[in-house]
Amino acid sequence: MNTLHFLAIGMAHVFTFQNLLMMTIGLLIGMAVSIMPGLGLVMGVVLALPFTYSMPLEPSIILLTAIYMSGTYAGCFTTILYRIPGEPMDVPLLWDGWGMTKRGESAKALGWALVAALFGGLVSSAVMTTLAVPLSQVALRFGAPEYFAAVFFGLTTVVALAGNSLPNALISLFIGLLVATVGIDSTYGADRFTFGSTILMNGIPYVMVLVGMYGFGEILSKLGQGLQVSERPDSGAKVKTSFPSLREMWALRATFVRSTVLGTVLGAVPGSGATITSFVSYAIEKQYGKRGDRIGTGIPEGIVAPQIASTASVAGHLVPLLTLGIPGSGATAVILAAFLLHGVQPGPFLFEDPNSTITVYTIMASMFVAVIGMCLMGFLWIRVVIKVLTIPQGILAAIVIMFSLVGAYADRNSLSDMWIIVVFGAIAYVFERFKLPVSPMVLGAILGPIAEDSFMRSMITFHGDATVFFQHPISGTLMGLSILSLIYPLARKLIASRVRRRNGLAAV
Amino acid sequence: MFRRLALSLAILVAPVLLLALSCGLARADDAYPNRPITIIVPWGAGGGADQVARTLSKLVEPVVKVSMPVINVPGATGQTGLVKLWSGNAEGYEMGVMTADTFVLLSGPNARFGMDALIPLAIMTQQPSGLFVKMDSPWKSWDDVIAASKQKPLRVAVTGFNSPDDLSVRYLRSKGVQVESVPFPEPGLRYASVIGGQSDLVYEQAGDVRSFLDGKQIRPVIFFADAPAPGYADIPTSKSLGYSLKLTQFRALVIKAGTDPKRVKILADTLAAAAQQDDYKKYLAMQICDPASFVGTDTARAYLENWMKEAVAVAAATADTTPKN
Amino acid sequence: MMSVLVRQVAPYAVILVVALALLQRTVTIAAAAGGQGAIGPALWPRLILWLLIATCAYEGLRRGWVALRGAPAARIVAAPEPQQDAMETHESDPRVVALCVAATVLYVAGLETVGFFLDTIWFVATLMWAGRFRRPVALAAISFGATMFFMIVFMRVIFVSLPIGTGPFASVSTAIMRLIGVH
Repeated sequence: MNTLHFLAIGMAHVFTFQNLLMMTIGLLIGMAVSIMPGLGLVMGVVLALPFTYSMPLEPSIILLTAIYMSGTYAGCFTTILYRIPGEPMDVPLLWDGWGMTKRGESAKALGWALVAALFGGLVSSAVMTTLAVPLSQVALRFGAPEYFAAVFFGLTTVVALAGNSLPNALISLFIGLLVATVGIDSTYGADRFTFGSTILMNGIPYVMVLVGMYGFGEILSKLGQGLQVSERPDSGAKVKTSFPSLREMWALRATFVRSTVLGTVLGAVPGSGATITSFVSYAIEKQYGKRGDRIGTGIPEGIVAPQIASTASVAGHLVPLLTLGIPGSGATAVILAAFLLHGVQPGPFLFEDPNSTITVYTIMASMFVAVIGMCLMGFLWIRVVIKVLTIPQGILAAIVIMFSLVGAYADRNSLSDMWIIVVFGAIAYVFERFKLPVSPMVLGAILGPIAEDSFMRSMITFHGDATVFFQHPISGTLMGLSILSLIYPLARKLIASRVRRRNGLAAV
Repeated sequence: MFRRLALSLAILVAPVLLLALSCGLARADDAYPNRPITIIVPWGAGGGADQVARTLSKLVEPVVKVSMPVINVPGATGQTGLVKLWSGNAEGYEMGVMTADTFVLLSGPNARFGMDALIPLAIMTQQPSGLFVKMDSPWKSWDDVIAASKQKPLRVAVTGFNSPDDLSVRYLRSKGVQVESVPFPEPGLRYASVIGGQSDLVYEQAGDVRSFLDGKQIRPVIFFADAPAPGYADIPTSKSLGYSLKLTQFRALVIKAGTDPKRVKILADTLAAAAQQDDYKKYLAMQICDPASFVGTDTARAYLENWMKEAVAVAAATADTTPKN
Repeated sequence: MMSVLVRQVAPYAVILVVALALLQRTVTIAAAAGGQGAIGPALWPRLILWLLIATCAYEGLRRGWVALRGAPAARIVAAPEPQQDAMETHESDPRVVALCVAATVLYVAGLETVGFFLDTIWFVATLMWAGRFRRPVALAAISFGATMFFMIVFMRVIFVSLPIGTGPFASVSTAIMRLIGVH
C-alpha cells in the first residue's frame, strides 16, 4: 500500500521535463553503445558520468539507469541481423537469433526480443520494487560454492553449441577458459602465461575475444566472400518488427516465467551481471524447455530466455543498490559513484528521510517508464537499422571494423587491445578451418574469470574440500543438474548408436 | 583503379598537410597546459580511487582551464594503469592515481618499475583501515573476536593475497588472533560477503563502507590507526591494543619522472589549492578521511618511504607464521 | 590412408603438445606465489589443461582409430557444423581476407607513429575498396568523413585521447584537433 503510494509520487516526478529528457537521452545512449561492438553498456554509463556532475541527483541517476536498461536490449539488433553481438550478454541470443534470420524470420526474432525485454523488464521491476528487501536477503546468502555452481551451469550451454562433435566443443571451451587465465591473476597477483610480454601481462579481457572472434572475424569472412550478405533469404527491405501473436506467447508461458524468475533472483545476487543471467537462463531453457533439444537451431525460446533474463537483471541489481547500498554489477558500481559524487550514500537509511524516500521511488518508477520507452524506441529504431542495411556493404564493413577497433581501444585506452582483436579474429578463421566451433571459446572466455574466482574462493574458504559444491543445497542441486545436462547427450548418443548397430546387424 | 584511388587520396590529404604546416607548427609552443590532462585511474569506475580522481577533476578543471578527463585502466592490482602512465611520454598531460595496494607491489619481486619512475604530486587522501562485523554479530568487542577465533579460525574478506589487507591479517595471526584471508577482488562482493555471512569480518576503510555504517548493517571492531576515527571514540585502535600495524590506505596523484619541473610545479600547486577548497574538505569528511590528509609534493616522497618502511616491518613480523594456506 | 590419418589427428596432436607445454609452465606460476599446498594460482589453469589434454587425447585417438580402420570419411567428419554452414556456402576469397588482415596489422602498427587521423583515412579507404566499393571520389569523401566522425565522437564527446603520432604527423593531428575544437 505504502509502496504503491510512494511509487505514484515517484511516477509523477519522472514525468517532469528534465527527468524525461534525461531518460530519453539515456535510452538513446544505451542503444548506441550496445549496438556498437567493442563499446559496452558499462562504458556508456562511465562516459555519461562526468555529465551528471552538474545535474541534480534525480535526473543523473535516471540518465544512468536508462543507459543501463536499454543497453541490455539494443544489442539484439546487430546480433540477430548481422551475427555480431553488441554486448557479451547478447551472445546466447545469437545462436537462435541468427538461426531465425537465416530462415528469413529476422522480423519475428526482433519481435520476440522486444516482447521479452518488455516483459522481463516490467515484471522484474514490479517484483523488485515490492520484494526488494527479502529477495536481497536471500541473494546475499549466495556464497562462493553456489556462485561457482551457477556459472558451471552456464558453462554447460556448451552442449547446446556442440553441433555434432561434443569433444570439439569442449576443446574450444577449454581453450576459452585458458585464455581467461592469461595475465596477472586477481587472487594471488601471480603472472600466468605471460611469457614476459606486457600485452599479455595486462590480461585478455573477454570483450576483446568477443569483438575479435565475432565482430572482426565475422566482417573478415564477409569481406572474403565478397559481401554477399544481402543475398540471404530476407533482403533488408523486408525486415521489420513483427510481433508474436498472443497464442504464440501463451505457448511459451513457461519460458517467460522461468526466465523472469531466474533473471530477477539471480540478478539480485551481487556480482552476477546481465551476462551470467543470460547464459544461465539459456542453459535452463536448453535443459528443461519443452523444445530444449531444438535450442540452438533458431527457435524463439532461445531468444526470449536470455533477453528476458538480461533485462530482468537490471532491476535485480538496481534495487539492492538503492535499498542495501550493494553494487552488484559494473554498471551499478558506476551508478553508486554518481550517488556518492552528489554526496548521497544509498542504503537503508535513505528511507528514513521523506525526501530521499521519494528520490528512491522516483528512480524505481523511472525503471518502469524506461522499459516502456526503450521498447517504443526499439520499435522505431528498427526502421533506422533497416536503412543501415541498404548502405553499400563495403562502407558498412569498414565502419563496423573501425568501431570494433576504436571501441576496444577506448575500453582501456590501450593499443595492445587492438592487437588482441586482430589476433582473435585470425584465431576465429583458423578455428573455422579446423571445424572447431567458435562459440564455446567465447563462452569460456566470458565466464572463465567468474568461474575461476568463485572456484578459488570456495577452495580457499573450505580449505581445498572439493565436495563442498555438493554439500550445500543450492550448489548441490545446480551441480547435479549441470552434470546431468553434460551426461544426457552422451548417453543418448550411445543408446542411439547401439540401436543403430543392432538394426544394422539385423539388416545384414 | 589504383591510380584514381591514389589521386583522390592525394587530393584529400594535401590540404590537410598544408593546414597543419601553416597553423600547427607555428603554434607548437603554447603555454602549459593547452590540451586535456588525463587522469589515469588504475581501478574500475565507481571505486574509491575513481572518486578521488573525479572529485579533483571537477574541482581543478575550472582552475587550469583545460578539461581533465578521467580514464579507468583497471587490472593487476592497479599495475596496468600505472604501467600505462610510466610508458607514456613525460609531457605533463597524464597523471595517475596510485593507492597503497599498488604501492606495496612496487617493492615486490615482480615489480615492473620502481617508485623512482614516478613523481608523487600529492597525497590526496589518508584513510585508516579497520575490521568490520555484521551489525547483529554476537561479537561486541575486539576481545570477543579474539575469543571466537580461538574456537574456529575466522574468515576475513580482503582484496587479494599479498595486499596490505592480507598483510594485516597475517600480522594479526602472528599475534595469536586466528584469522585467515579470503580474497574478494570485487568491492561489492566483499561488502556483501560479510553482510550475507560468508565471511566473519571484512577489512576495509571506514569511508568506503560509509553507507553500510550509516545503514546500521555493519560496525567496526578495530581501527588500524593511532587515534580513533571521528565518531568512533569507543572502538579500540591498533595502537591502544599494542599492535604496531597501521598501513594507512592512501591515494596519491603521480606523474611520470622526467616531466619538466615547471609543469610538475604547476600541477602540484593546483592540487594544493584544490585541497584547500571547502568542497574537497567536505569530500574528505564524507569519506571518513584524516582531515589532514593532504601531503604536498615536497614531502610526499618522504611519506611514501616511511609507509614502505612500515610495510616491510609488518611483513617481517609475519614472515615466521604458518603458510597462508 | 596415411594422409587421412594425419589430417584427422594432426590438429589434436598440436593442441595436445601446446597444452602439455603450458602445463609445464604452470610449475613456475606455482613457484612464484610461494608454492605451498595444492591451492594457488596454478590450480585452476592446471585443472583446465588436464581436461583439455584428456579431451584432445580421446578425440585424437578416436579419430585415428576410425581412420585406420578405413571407415568412410563421412563417419569421421560427420556433417559440417549446422550453425556455421551459411558462412561456408560462399567460398571465401583468401586474398581479400589476407589483404584486410595485412591492412589491419599495418594500421594498428602505424597508429603510434602516424597518428589516428592519417592512419584511419587510408585504412578505411582500403577496407571499403576491399569490400568492392570502388568509386574513388566517394571513397575519399567517406574515408575523410568517417575519420572526422570518429575523431569528433571520441575526442570531443567522450574524451578518449586517440594517438596523435610523432614528428610531422603529430602536427597534422594537432591541427585537425584544433579544427574540431579540442583543447
